[in-house]
Amino acid sequence: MGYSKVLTRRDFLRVTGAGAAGAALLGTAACGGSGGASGGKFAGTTLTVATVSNSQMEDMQSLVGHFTEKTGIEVRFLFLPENDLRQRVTQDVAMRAGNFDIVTIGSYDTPFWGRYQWTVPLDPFFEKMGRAEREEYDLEDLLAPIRTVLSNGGQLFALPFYAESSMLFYRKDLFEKAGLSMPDHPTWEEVSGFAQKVHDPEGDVYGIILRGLAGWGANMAPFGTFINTFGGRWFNEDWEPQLETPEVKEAAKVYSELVRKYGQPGATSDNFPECQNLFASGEGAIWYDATSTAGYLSDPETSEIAKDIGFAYGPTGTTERGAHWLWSWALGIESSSRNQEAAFEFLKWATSKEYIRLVGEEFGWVRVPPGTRRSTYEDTKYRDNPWADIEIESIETANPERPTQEPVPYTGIQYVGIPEFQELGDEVGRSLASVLAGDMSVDEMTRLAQQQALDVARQGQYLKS
Amino acid sequence: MSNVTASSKQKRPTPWVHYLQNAVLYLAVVVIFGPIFWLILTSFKTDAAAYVLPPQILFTPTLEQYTSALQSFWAPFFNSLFIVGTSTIICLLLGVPAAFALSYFHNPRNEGIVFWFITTKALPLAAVLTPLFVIFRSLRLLDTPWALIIVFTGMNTPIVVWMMYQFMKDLPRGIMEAAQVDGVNLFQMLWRVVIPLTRAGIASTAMLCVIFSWNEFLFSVSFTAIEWQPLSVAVAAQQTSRGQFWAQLSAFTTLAILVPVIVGWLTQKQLVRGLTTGAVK
Amino acid sequence: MAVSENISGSKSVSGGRSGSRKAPASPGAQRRALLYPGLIVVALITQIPFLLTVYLSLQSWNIIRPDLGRQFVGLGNYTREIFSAQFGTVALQTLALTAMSLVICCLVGLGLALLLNREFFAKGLVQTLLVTPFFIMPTVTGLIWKNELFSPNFGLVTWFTGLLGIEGFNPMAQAPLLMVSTMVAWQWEPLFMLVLLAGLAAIPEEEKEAAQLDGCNRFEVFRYVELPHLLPYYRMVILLGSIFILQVFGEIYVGTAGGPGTSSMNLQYLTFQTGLVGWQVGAASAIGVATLVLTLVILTGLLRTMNAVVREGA
Repeated sequence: MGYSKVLTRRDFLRVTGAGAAGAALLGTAACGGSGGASGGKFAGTTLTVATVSNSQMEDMQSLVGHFTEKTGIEVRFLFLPENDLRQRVTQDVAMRAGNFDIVTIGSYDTPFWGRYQWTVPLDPFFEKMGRAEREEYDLEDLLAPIRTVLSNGGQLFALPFYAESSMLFYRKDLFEKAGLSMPDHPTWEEVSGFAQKVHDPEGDVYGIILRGLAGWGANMAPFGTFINTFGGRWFNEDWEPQLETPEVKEAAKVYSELVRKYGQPGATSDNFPECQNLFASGEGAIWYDATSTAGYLSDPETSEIAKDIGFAYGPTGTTERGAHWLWSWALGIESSSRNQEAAFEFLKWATSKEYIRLVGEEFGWVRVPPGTRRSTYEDTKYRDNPWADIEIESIETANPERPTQEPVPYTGIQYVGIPEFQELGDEVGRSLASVLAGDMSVDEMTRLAQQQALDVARQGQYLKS
Repeated sequence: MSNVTASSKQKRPTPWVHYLQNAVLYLAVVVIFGPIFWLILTSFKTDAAAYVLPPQILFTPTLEQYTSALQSFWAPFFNSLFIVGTSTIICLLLGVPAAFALSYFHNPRNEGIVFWFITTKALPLAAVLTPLFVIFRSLRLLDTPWALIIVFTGMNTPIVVWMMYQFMKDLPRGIMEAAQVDGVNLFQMLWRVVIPLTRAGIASTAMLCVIFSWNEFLFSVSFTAIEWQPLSVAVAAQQTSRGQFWAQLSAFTTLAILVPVIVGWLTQKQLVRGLTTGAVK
Repeated sequence: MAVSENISGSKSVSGGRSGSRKAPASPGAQRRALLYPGLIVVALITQIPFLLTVYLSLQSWNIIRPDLGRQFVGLGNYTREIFSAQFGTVALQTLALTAMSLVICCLVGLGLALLLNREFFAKGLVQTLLVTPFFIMPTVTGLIWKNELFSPNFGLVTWFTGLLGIEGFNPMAQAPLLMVSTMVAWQWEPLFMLVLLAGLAAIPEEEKEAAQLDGCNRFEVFRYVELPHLLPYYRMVILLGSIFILQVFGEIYVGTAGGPGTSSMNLQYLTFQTGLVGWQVGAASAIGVATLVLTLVILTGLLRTMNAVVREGA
């Protein structure tokens, strides 16, 4: 019963895929490209892709028939939630088990995975490309900061599937009713004032929604930008931890007061999806989070407040540096994969302009994986989305190599680009959650964080002493 | 049999106490089974309706969630069925004779051996994960069913030995001695006397093996990839990090717990019976 | 009745066998033939990785820093990880979590078993429904608690307490360890209930009737007749339960992720966090070995106490 359903679905994809692939072949033939030749070269190869379970990746799975039709390469997917995916994939690459050809990795992991040669450099593949094919892919079209975070030592190690910065979402209707207006570039002080005025727990509307769940990729993502924009940093240039400074304490104070005074109840169990649910169901007046959720919030199918939503840049504290984050989910090729050439074909397809167009036409332009290519914002209907300008400008002005007011020895805005940050970020995130729950003071938290950062700097042999 | 009901009727307390006890019990059912009932109910809702408060009991049921859940259900389901089935059979084949040997022969070391079996369960799984991963990689067993079958055999055989030891050690010796006088060897005695006598115990022990290995997650996610992904991992994959997922997750979860729940429902009476007939002294 | 049937059954078996008499193996050899396959297989599967774990616990090895390599550090991992405030706190939390869950299981299990050990309407269905939580995946239990019941915004229980006018009801953050204990107890109470029900069913009716004729009230019947009978059953189920409850992981992983802070972390989760999030294999191995030792001490102590109690009660 279920099997037959799968089969009919696959057949359906094959049929619809055939039409689109025919069109694609015509397109490449017109450019005189070598694309037609790759049609059968890898036929019969099966690729395995480990990927994070979210809707954009699920769209990729349902469109993969087009790719198979074009190249003859079959693709299988393993979907896992972010934490499980990272555990499983790290195990696989670090121990060279080779269960996957393609792995989905974040901008955080990519540089040192490249350094350890767990994933292969992609530059040689691009060098082998014909001119027409290279023009069609248009590497330069990928946004510069994204290429930076996916590189190590001048070589590219993964191609971005989508990318995001952070921005502010607010409810225009509630602001209007309260006689408030949100500036394009608000400060946290202003936002705090707004949150106070629109906070209405009796009416089930909370002033501001912020992530509280402990984790380097959970509450530490927004809080990381708080540290930066209030003038703090994790380490100085000699890798001495800088977490007990007044700047970091101020950041922690502002964040925790926002959550404790005007935030949603039970914030310490809320990560991105929980916050998204809350805001989309109208229980929040302001939300600071990933730009990539703008489409979801603006879609009346998924969001009750689609028509009332307003957008602003990520708020600032004392400096604009590092006030909005930069993140990308990207596709890399495992070094132990035996199908690297075929895998590159898939990388190329899934991160191409053609793929973005395909998603836009099949599923609508709000569902396009955003943030990777300038052309998405210039040549497609995506640019008509009201948040598109803020999104691309936030991404382009994010500078992961100079994320803070004072210079730092690491790259990364809402994270420190060293392998140990997963654990350090989790530890500090747990303390932050304790502060949000009222079980710990800010001083205690920063003292503990300083100690933990010192341990990491010593154990990882970053600190010279 | 009629005797028992007669005597229980005799000592039945006054009606209102009886009904009060019933009421407490029904309330316990609401509290304990309620969350599962709600999970199943949610699986027939749309994703948007799943979050509506006050909670809706009356709504138009939809099979939408099941249609999409079933698409990714069957492959991991059959993987789990094979892995769990094979490992449970191996566990019983190894554990039942061992428990019989330990319970039948008087040996001062027996209690110690039984305790040793149990101690193998005391090491945190996360600590042995890396060594096991290295071993399975060099044996080329990753993403085959055998890695999990081996692991589950190691995890559950001690449970079989321990449980069956409890069931067997108080079997009436007269039966076995009578059989021995007739020259029956131990294998025949195990097969024709002991196993029939402890059938209920074996059924409930097998139930424990099935439940523990069906629900195991940490090893399951680490030692499989795509080909042999079991259901517990497939359930985790349903928790997408974008969007509201509760209704679809409920549908998938309802499907995933079906096997252990049915196995459990069928064998729970055996567990009670297995324990009642003489064991545990 | 049942016994005599089986005796005659076994006799007919032996009658058929007596024709094909072979030289009988010695009892020792037979014992080994039955015991060793299981013993050897379990030893191979569990002890090889265990020895490797002990070996790795003496190394400094961070998987995600291959440039630092793997070095022998002697007992360094133990001194650093085990004699830390965190390990002590987490060990105590593990004990508290296990104790709370066991107490709830023992009490609720007993109450339900007493109520079930009667004849009443829909008994089979009631028992079946009460047993069901035992078959649910631990990770799903975590989701049920976190999302369905106690989510501060969408949870059923939270909604209900809201109706009663309780503000800021958020037990997953306010009493995380207790909430994990209730999850664990919810999952394991069915086993306690079934085993104790078996114990109650095994008590001869005459003994209870005799006690009633002696003028015992319901409580005294329980105290002097039923409870002593139940002690061996309690011993079995507490031992079995504590082995698993000391190892609880899925409920914490999904339900609270050990937080807020480290307030709902147990030793299992700490090992996981160190070894598979921080990727410090050496340190995680040391924590694992220490957990093993601690668990064995607890189990041995528990076994001794229970044996003493059972002996006294009998």
